[in-house]
Amino acid sequence: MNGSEVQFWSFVTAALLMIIGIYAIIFMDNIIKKIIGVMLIGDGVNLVLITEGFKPGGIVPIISEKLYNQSPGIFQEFADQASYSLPFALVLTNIVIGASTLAVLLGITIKLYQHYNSLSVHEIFKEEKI
Amino acid sequence: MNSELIPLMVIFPLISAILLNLMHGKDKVVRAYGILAMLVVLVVPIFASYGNHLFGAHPVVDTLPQLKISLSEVNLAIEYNFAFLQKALVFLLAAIATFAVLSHISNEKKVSGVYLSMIMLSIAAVSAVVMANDIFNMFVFLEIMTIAQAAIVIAVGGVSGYKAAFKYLVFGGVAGASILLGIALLLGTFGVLNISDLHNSLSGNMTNPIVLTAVGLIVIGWLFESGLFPFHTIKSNMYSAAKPDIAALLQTQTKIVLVALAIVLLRLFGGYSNMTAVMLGLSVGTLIIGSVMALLQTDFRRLLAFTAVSQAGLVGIGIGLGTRLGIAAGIFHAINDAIAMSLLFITVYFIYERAKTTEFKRLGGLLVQAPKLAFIQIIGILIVSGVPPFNAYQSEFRIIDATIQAGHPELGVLVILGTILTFVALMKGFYLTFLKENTTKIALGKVHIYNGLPTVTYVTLIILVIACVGIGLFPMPFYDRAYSVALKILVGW
Amino acid sequence: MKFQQSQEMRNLIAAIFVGIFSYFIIKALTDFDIVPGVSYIYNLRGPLIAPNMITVILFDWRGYDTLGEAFILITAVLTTGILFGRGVLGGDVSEKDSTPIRPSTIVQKVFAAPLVFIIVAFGVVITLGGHITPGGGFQGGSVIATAFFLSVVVYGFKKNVFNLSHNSLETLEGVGALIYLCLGLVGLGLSGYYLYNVGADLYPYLGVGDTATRLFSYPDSTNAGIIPYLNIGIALKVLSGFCTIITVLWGAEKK
Repeated sequence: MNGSEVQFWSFVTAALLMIIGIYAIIFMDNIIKKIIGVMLIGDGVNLVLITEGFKPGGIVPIISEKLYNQSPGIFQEFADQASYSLPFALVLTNIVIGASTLAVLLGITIKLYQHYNSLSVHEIFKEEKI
Repeated sequence: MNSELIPLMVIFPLISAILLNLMHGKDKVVRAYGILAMLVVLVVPIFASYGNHLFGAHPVVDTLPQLKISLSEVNLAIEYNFAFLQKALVFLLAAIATFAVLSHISNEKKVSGVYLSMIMLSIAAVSAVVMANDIFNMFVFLEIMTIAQAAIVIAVGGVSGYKAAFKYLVFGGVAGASILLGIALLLGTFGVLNISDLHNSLSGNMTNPIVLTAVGLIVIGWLFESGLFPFHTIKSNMYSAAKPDIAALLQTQTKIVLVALAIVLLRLFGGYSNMTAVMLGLSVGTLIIGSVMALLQTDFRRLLAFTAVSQAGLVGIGIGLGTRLGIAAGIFHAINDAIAMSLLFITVYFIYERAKTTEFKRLGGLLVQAPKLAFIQIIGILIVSGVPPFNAYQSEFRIIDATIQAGHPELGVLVILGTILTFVALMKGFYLTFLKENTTKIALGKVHIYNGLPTVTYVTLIILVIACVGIGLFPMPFYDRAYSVALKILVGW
Repeated sequence: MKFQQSQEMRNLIAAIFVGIFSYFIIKALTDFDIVPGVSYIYNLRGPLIAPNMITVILFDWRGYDTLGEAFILITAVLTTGILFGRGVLGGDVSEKDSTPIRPSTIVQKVFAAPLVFIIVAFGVVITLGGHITPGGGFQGGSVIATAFFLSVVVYGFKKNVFNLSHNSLETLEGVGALIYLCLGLVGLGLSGYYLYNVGADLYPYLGVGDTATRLFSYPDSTNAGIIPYLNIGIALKVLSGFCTIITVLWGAEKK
C-alpha cells in the first residue's frame, strides 16, 4: 500500500468507527455499551485528525541533530519533510477530553446501578415522560 | 491593540476554582473568598479595554507558498476578541453568576467549595467561548462548560439529577465529537483554525462538499449547546434538575453560548442560505414545542425550564433570519430574556426553598403568605411575555418586525402565538401556586414563606426588575450596539 | 407519550438519520484533499524553541488550549468527587470504604514493587524529556498513574507504595494546575501576553530581559523556555487527577 491508499483506508476506518458508535448509542440497551459508543465516536474523530496529520513519505515531526546543525536558524528541509504536526496536538487534547467524559459517565453509571440495580436503559429511564 | 486584562476574565475564575476546591471544608474562608472572587469577576470586564489578545505573543505572519492556502497572512496564536458585545455578555454572565454564588453563600448552612468552584469553571468556560476567535479553543472550553454544568446538577444529589446529567453528557459527547469533526474537516481543507482566517479562506469556497458536511456537523453542535429542537428535552431536564437559582445561571449560559456560536456560524458560513433556513426552521419548532410542553407540565420548575427553552427558540428565530434586523433583534432578545428568565427562576427558588417542592398539586394559596413575591413574579411573567414597557417587549417587537421585513410575516404570527402560549403557561403556574386554594394537607400554612426572606436574594430580584425596566425604557444604546454587531457579521469583521 | 412508544419512534427516526449521516461522512472523508496550512509554519519555526514539534505546539503555539485541556481533566475529577459525596449540597457525604480486599499472591507482591519503581522512573524520564523526545507531561503523568494503580491493585489502599491520601492528591492536583497558570501569568507580567514563552526569546522586541531568560533556562542544550516546567506541572496534575479518579471509582460501594 502506498501513502495515499493508507490515508484513504484510514479515513474509511474512522468513518466506520463513528457509525458503529452512533449505532451503539441509539440501539443498545446497556448503559455501558452506550458509553462505549460515545468513546468510539471520539476515537473515530481522533483517527480522522491523525490521518490529516499524516504526510505520505514524511518523517516524524521531531528534528534530528543532523538536520538541526545543517543550516542554523533555517529549518526549510525539516519543514518540507515533516508530517503536519498541528492535528497531532489537537488529538492529544481530544484524548484527554474523552478520558474525562468517560470518568464522569462511569461514575454516574455506578450511582445509577446502585439505585436501580440494573444497567438497562429501559429500566432506568422507565418513568420518564417525553 | 493588546489589553492585558482580557485573559484575566478567564484566568482569574480558573485560579479561583482551584483555590476554592482546596479551601473546601473551611466554611468561613470559602464564604469570604467566594464573595471576593465574584467581585473581581464582576469588575474585570468593566475595566478591560477593547481590543485583541494574542496568546503567547505569536503575531500574524505572511504565508509561504508551501502552505497551499489562499491567504496572504495567517494567525499563529490563539486570539481573543473583546468588543462591546463580548463585554455585555461577559458582564451579564458575571452578574447572574454573582447572584447564584451569593444565594448559595447566604442560604446554605454549609457552603460547598467544590460547588462554587464548578460555578467558577463554568463562568470561565463561557467567557472563553464568548471571546475566542479560534474555533478549536472554543471547542475545548465548550467541553469544560458541559462537564461543569453536569457537575452543578449532580451536586444537588438524587437520581433525577444523575439521569439528567447522564443524558446531557452522552449527547454532549456526541455533539462535541460532531463539532470537532467539523473542525477537523475545515482544518484539513483550509489549514487554519483562526475564525477570521477561516472566514477569509471560505469566502471563495462556498460549493465545496466537504465544507457543506462541516457546516452540518457544527450546526448539530450548535443545536445541542443551545438546547434547540431535537435536544430541547435534555436542556429542560437539566434546568429542572438543578436548583432554581443555579438554573437561572444555566439558562443564561445557554443563551450566551447560543449567541456566541451563532455569530461564529454566521461569520463562517453566512453565505449558505440553507444553513440559516435550517437554523430558522428548528428555532420555530423549538418555540412552539417548548411553549406547548410548558403548558403540559405539572411542576413549576419544569414549566419554567420549557419556557426558557422556547425563549431560546425565539432568539434562534431572530438570528436564523440572517438579516441585519433579525440578528440584531436576536442578540438583543438573548440579553433581555436571560435577565427576565433569571428573575422568574429566582422567584421559584423562594418557593422551592420554603415549601421544599414545586409540584402544583402540593402548592396553592401562597398569595396570602407572600404578597410581595407574587407581585414580583407577576411582573416577571409580564416581562417574559413581552408586555411594554419592559425590555423583552422591545426585542420581541423587533423580532416580529424583522420577520415581516424579511418577507416572512407568517413567522411573525407564529412568534406572537408562541408568546401567547408562554403567557398562558406562566399564568397557569402563577394561578396554581398563588391563587388556587390549598387543598392538600401539606403544612404550608406553617411554613412562613415570607418570614425571613434572605435579603440578598430579595435585593437580587429588585436589581433584576430595575434592569428590565431600565433596558425597556432606554433600549437604544443596547440595540444600536447589537445592530452594529449584526452589520459587522454580515459585511465583514 | 410513554417511554416505550417514544423509544420505538425515536429508533425509527434515528435509523434514518444514521443512514444519512453515514453517507455524508463517508463521502466527505473519501474525497478529502489535505493542505499543510499553519502546520508548515509551526514546523519551520518550531526548532528555534525545542526539537519536538508536537510539544512545541502543545505548550507554546497553542499553550492556551492545553490549559483548557488540563482544566477539563480537573473538572472531571471534581465531578467524580461530587458524585461520591465530596462537595454535594448540604454537606459532604462520606461513603463507607468498601475497597475489595483480594489477597495477592506472593509472586505479585514480590515483583510489583520493583516494577512500580521502574514504571515511575520511566514516567519521570518521559516527562522531563518531553520537549526533546516523544512524550510530555500528559504521557508521563498517565504512566506514573499506571504505577499507582498497579500498586493499589496488588497491595490495597492502606499499604500501597505511594501512600498518598485523598487530600494530598487534591493538593497535588491544585499545585500542578497553579504551576501552569502562574507560569502563564509570568509571561503576562513580563511581556503583556499570557503564556508568553519566557526564556525561549522568540520575539526579542518584546523586551523580556536576560534575567527572566536565565531564570527559566533548563539544563540541556535547547532553549525551550518554560516548556519543561509546564510539562512538570501538567504531569503532576494528570498523575494526581487520574489517581483521584481511580481512588474514587475503585472505592465505590458494591451492592
